[in-house]
Amino acid sequence: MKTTPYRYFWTLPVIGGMAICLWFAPSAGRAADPEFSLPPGIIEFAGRVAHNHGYLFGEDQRGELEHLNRVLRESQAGLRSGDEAEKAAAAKRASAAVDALIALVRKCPYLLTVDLTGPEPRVDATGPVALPGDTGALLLAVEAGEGNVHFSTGWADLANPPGESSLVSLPAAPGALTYAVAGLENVPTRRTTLRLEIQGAGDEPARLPLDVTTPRPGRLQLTVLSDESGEPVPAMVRLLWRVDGLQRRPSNGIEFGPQFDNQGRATGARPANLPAPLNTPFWCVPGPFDMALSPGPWQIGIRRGVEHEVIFEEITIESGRTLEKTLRPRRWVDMRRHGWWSGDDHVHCRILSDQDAERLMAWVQAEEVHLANVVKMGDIYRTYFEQRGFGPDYRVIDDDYILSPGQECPRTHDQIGHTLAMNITAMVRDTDRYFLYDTVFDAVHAQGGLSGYAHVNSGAFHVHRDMSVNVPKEKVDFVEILQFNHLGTDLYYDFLNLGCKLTASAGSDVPWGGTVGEVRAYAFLGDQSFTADHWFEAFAKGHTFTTSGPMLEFRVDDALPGDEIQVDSPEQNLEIHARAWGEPQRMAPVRLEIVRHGEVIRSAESTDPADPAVEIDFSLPAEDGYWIAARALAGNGTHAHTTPVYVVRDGMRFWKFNQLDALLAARSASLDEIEAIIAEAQRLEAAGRLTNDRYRRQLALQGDALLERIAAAREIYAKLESIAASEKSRRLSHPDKAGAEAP
Amino acid sequence: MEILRGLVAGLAVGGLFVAAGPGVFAHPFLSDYLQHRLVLARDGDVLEVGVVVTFFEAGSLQERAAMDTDHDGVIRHGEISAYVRERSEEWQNQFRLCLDGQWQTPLLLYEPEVDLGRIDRVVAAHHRLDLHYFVSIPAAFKPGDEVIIEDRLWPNRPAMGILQLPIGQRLWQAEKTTWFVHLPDPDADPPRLRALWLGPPGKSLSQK
Repeated sequence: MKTTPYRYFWTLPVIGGMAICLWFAPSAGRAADPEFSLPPGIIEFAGRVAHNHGYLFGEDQRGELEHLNRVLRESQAGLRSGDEAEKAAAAKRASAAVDALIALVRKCPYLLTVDLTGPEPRVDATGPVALPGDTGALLLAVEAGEGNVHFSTGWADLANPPGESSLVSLPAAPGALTYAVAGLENVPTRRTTLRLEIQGAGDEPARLPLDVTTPRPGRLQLTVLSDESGEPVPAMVRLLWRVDGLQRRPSNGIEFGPQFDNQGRATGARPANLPAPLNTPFWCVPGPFDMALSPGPWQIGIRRGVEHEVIFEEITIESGRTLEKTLRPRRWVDMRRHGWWSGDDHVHCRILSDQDAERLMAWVQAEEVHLANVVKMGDIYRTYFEQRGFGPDYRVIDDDYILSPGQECPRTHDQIGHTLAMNITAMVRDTDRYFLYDTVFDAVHAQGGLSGYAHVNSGAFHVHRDMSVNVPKEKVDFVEILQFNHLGTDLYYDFLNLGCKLTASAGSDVPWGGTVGEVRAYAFLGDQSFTADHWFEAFAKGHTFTTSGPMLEFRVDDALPGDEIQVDSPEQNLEIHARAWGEPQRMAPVRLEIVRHGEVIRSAESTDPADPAVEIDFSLPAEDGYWIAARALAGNGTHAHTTPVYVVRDGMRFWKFNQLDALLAARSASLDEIEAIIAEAQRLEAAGRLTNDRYRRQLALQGDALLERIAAAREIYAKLESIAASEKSRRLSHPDKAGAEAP
Repeated sequence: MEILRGLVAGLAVGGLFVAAGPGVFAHPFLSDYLQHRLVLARDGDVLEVGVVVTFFEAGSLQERAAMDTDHDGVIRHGEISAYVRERSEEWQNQFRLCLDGQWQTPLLLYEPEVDLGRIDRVVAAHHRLDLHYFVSIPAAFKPGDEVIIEDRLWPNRPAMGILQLPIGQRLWQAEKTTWFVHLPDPDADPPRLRALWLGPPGKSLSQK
C-alpha cells in the first residue's frame, strides 16, 4: 500500500503532546526516585547545543544553555556519589535541568519533528530548512514511540567524498522520543538535498530526504594598511564566524604546506605560541582580498608582529552585499627608531623558486621580522627545507626585509644536541664527521658565519653535552634561550657563570613553532643602515636581546649588551640603566629584573595599567667583575632577556666564583655522559649490532676523535680551576651574596 | 575478517615506526612531545580550565591510528566521536585541581574536540585536542588563595607545557608558566602549576 507523506500528519501534535505530558507529569516523582538517571545522551546533547549550535536558540538563550549544561554535568557526577543525600539533591537538580532543557528545545523555532510511528517516516518540514551559512545544525524530535526520552548527536561533513556527502546519520531510540542535533559542515550554497538517516529506532534505518538552504553570501573586501605609509601591506589575518565559532581561510591566505616539506604543522593556518587570542590560527595574506562569506556576525583579527597592536573587530556581513573594510594596525613601538632590528634565527621553509621566496617574504613582512635565518635542516640521514644556495647572492631582499639562508645541522637527538648557523656561504655537512661539531663551527666561522645551539631554552637533545665540549673553547657565538614563548636560562646561566660569553638569541622553529617572529632576537645597529651584513655584525658583537612581547633597553655606563667593560678597581661604580615596556592593551604590568650571575639584584614593576613601562637606574660597584643582564616579564606571560654586559676586572674572569665547584662538576658530568654513550656505541658496533642505527654507528666510528675533544675540554676546565686558585687571593669577598634580592 | 583487517592495519602503523628507523621524523624533539596549553579563567563561581593538547608527528600518528577504528586510513566524524567518548573519562581523571586546599577532579564542560588540521588521514601530521574543564569554586576561596593544577595527561609522553592566565586586569599570578618533561617517569610527581588568585580589581591582598 502506498502512503502519502502527509497521511499521518495529524498524529504529530498528538504524539508530541503525549510525550510532553509523559515527561512532565511525573517530574517530582522522578526526582524522588533514588534510581533516577539522566536521559541517555543528554550530557553530550547539552554540551553540543551550548557550545556549537547556540544560534538555534538565539543569543538570549545562550547563557541559559551554558547554565543547564553545567548543572547537568554536575548532577551527573552527583548521581554517582555514594552519599544518598547528595545523590537525592543531584537527582532533583538534574530533573529540573532536564525539564528546562526540553522546554527550551520544544520552544526552539528550528525544531523539526520526525515521525517514525507510521508506515513511512515523515518530517514536519514544510519547506527547506534554512541554515545560517555553510555550517549549521538540524534539531530534531524523532518520535518512535512513547518510551522515555533520549537524546543523540551527530555530525555531517558535506565535503566528504562523493557517496557520503549528503548523508546525515543520527541515532534514535526504539519506541521512544529522541531529541537529536546534527551539526552540518561545508554546506554548499543555496539548496541541498540531504539524506537523513535515523538509525536504531527500528529494524532498518529510517531514511528520508530533507532539503536545506543557505542564504546568499555576502562579500568582504579587506585591506590592511601600514601604519607608516598607509599603503597595503601583508598581514596575519583571522576570520571567525561568530555563528559557529570557526575560522575560515582568507581567499588569498598562503598555504605553506608544500614549502614545509610536509613537516611539522604543515599548513598556512598559524596559531602563535603566544597568549590568547594569538594562539588561534591566523593566515598570512600578502595583500587585499575579496571573498564570499556567510552572512552574519564575524570577527576579523589582524596581527602585524609584536610591534603593532592587535586588532579584533566585529563586523556583520549582509547577504548579497559587499563590506569594504580597511584596517590599519597601530604601531605601539618602532624599534628601528631605537636602532634595534628584529630577526628570527630559526625559520624552516623551502626556497627553490622566486614564488617560494615571495610567499615566505610575505610572511616575514606580515610579522614584521626584518631578518629571517632560513635554515636548511639536516640529520645524519638527509636534509630538509632545501635552499637555492647560500651567501649574499642567495639572500632575498625586499626593502628592509631579508631572507638569509642558513643551516640547522648537525643535529643529533639522543646524543649531543642541535646546532644552528647564520650568514654562511655554503652548507657545512659531513656525515663522516657528524659528531665533531667543532669542525662545523670552525668551517662556519671561516665563511664569516655565526655558530650557535638551538633549543638551549629547553635543554632538549642533551645539548648541554656538546656545549660542555665547545663553549669553553669559544667555538660558539649564540644560543637560543627563547622559543615557543619559553624563556629557559638554566644552561645559559651555567655557562655565563663559568665566564663564557654567549649571545642571547631566539627562533620560532616554524613549522614546528607557531609563526615567524613569535619569538625574536633584536640586534642593535644604531645609526647604521639596515643590511644583512650590519645585522650580522651587530649580532656577532652580542648586541642583542630576545623577546616574545616586551621590549628592553639595557646599558651599563655606555656599554650595550654583549660589550665588555674593563675596570681597574673593584670600587669603580657602574651606572646601570634598564627599561622595559610593552603594548598597553595586552602586556601590563611589565616586571623588569636586573640579573647578575643569575640572581636578581634589582626589580621593579609598572603600576599604570595604561602605560606598562618601568625603568631601573642605579649604581653598582664593579667588585671582582660579573655578567649582568636585564630581563622582563609582561602581564600576558611574554618574556624578554638581553645578552649580558660583561664586567671584567684586571683580567680576571667574570665568573660566579663562589659556585665554581658545582659549575665545573656539572660540566664534567656532561662530558662523562658523552664518554658513556661513545663507549656504549663502540661496544654495540664491535658486536655488529648497529647496522641499522646510523647515528650510533657514526658515533662509534667518530668516537675516538670526539674523545680527544672531550679530553681537550677537560684540560680547559682544569685550567679554569688553576685560574680560580690564582684569582682567589686577588678577589674581594664574593659579591654574589651581597645585595641580591630574595628570589 | 575484521580482526584480520585490524591486525594488518595495526602492523602497518607499527611498521611506520619500526621500518623507517630513527630518521623517520625530521624533528624528533617536537614529533615526540605533546604541547599542553592550560588556560585558566574564572566565570563567577566557576573556574574553567581549557586544555589544548597539540600532538606532533609521533603522538599524532599514534592517536590517529587509534581513531581510525575501521582501519581504512581515513578518520571520520563518527570515529572521532567514538574515540573521544571512550576516552573522556580517562582524560577527566588525569586532571586535578586543588582549590582552598581541596583536590577536585573537574568535570568536562563540553565533549572533547579533535581538530585534525585539515588532514583526515592516518599520517604523521599534527592535531589538537581541546578539553574544556570546569569546577565550582568553594565559597571559602579568597583573594590570595592558590589554585594548583595537576596535569597527568599522557604521562608517558614527553611534554612541554604552558599555563596561560587571563591578560588585562591582573587577577592571577604565577611564578612558573612553562614547563618541560623530557623523560617521563611514571613514578615521578606529575607536573603541578600554581596560580594565585589576586581577586577582583580594586581589592588588594591585604583585604583578605
